[in-house]
Amino acid sequence: MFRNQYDSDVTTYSPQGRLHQVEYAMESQKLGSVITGVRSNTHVVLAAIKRSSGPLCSYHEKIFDVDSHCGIALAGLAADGRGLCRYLRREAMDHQYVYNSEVPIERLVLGLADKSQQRTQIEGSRPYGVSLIVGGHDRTGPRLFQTCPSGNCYEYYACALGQRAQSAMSFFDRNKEKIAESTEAELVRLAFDALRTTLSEDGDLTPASISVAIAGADGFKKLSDEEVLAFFQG
Amino acid sequence: MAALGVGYDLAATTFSTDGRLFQVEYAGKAADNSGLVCALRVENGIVFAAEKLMHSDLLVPSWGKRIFTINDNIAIAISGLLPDARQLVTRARDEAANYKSQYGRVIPVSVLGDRLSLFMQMYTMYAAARPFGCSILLGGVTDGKPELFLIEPSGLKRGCYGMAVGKGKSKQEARNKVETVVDTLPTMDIQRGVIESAKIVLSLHDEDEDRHMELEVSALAADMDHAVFTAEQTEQITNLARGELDAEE
Repeated sequence: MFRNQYDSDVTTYSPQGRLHQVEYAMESQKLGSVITGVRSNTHVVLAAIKRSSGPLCSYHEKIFDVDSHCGIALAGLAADGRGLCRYLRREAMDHQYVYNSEVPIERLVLGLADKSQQRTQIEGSRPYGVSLIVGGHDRTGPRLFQTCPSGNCYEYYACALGQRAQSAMSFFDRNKEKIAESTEAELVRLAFDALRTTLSEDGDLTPASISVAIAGADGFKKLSDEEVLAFFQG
Repeated sequence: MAALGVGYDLAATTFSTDGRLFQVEYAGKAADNSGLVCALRVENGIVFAAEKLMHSDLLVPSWGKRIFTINDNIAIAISGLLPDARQLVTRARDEAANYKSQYGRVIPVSVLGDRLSLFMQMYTMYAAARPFGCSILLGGVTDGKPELFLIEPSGLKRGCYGMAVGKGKSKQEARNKVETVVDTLPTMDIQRGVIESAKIVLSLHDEDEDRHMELEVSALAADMDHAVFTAEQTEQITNLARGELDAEE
């Protein structure tokens, strides 16, 4: 990574027109453990590998529900992620209160993206150091989005973030024909297989270190440890 | 790599020794750093065409639009940083709505252009903020007459018959192609305009460097509200445009 004199302020462009501070903020997701999201014609699955600080600690949560119909997985600075989660929950609740309906996920994500963008244009605060995968099911069907500290957001059929996430993206690329018509169970297995590609040589997935959530017409639900185990054995 | 403005280019509030604002010029580079966006002012309306660069096959094609409706008769197409672009779109929509509420009539395109350019210029004046990294093509119909403006990150607003922004190295080539049709624009109809703008964008797409692109095309006219064409319509337009490009070779 090069260092240069244009990279200490968010309000400074480099001679090539790049915003280095924003690009550095976008690197933060690579430090987190891997999260994936995949969307079929009917469901969205979010899956994450959880880390623990040591044998005496519980695993850090990676997947959070935002409303009854959507949730997020985070990669990067977890504290920033929890702040964003709180914002999303509040927005979803406000929408419910005002309009008496579930907030469209696209609207939720764009609001977050605009909020992130403001912190890339004004001095005094830094961009968020976390990227989110937002998944859920609303009136328009299953939707899957990825947000970024720059304020960019993307809609995907499958995506992955975190350490060695590129292997998971390549896996999804190779298997993209299978995704659309997958059943709920097949989708979860696809997500697990994608997670496996990011592990080091002698590593393996263990049920305790995985978090899974499924969104469908009947809502967004984080699976319990027993349900995750069942998918593992099944 | 020592830049031209070394020492005088760290803040928008610093002039260089020869009177230039380098941070604003660098913002211009950021505005060029996206797919090509092209707009043409034809006889009774405006057509827009944008090259959406998709960095992955897993992306949903309809996402990442670069052409935005402001109200029924005004639209903008933006090159450069998309998050900054969305702020400008929100601002434009607010300005249009406020004008309607205050004056009881639809905002003229040049008035909206003035407001947007003043807004963008404001961000070039303070060290605590940075200029927008976007160039705007603002097009619309006022009192039956179409108008097209280019607004750059410095806030400079210029009226155009046709214009292309984005895609630094191809931008000049695109502008040259627009120049070859500029004499025919005043009598061109919307359908032809759509094909011509699509041809410009498609012919300059670099298949090797930016593998996957989605074409986004839209039009508005005195008798037609602004609409971005659907996937099926865009495919038809693409086929027609490619057919004509192949025939020309």
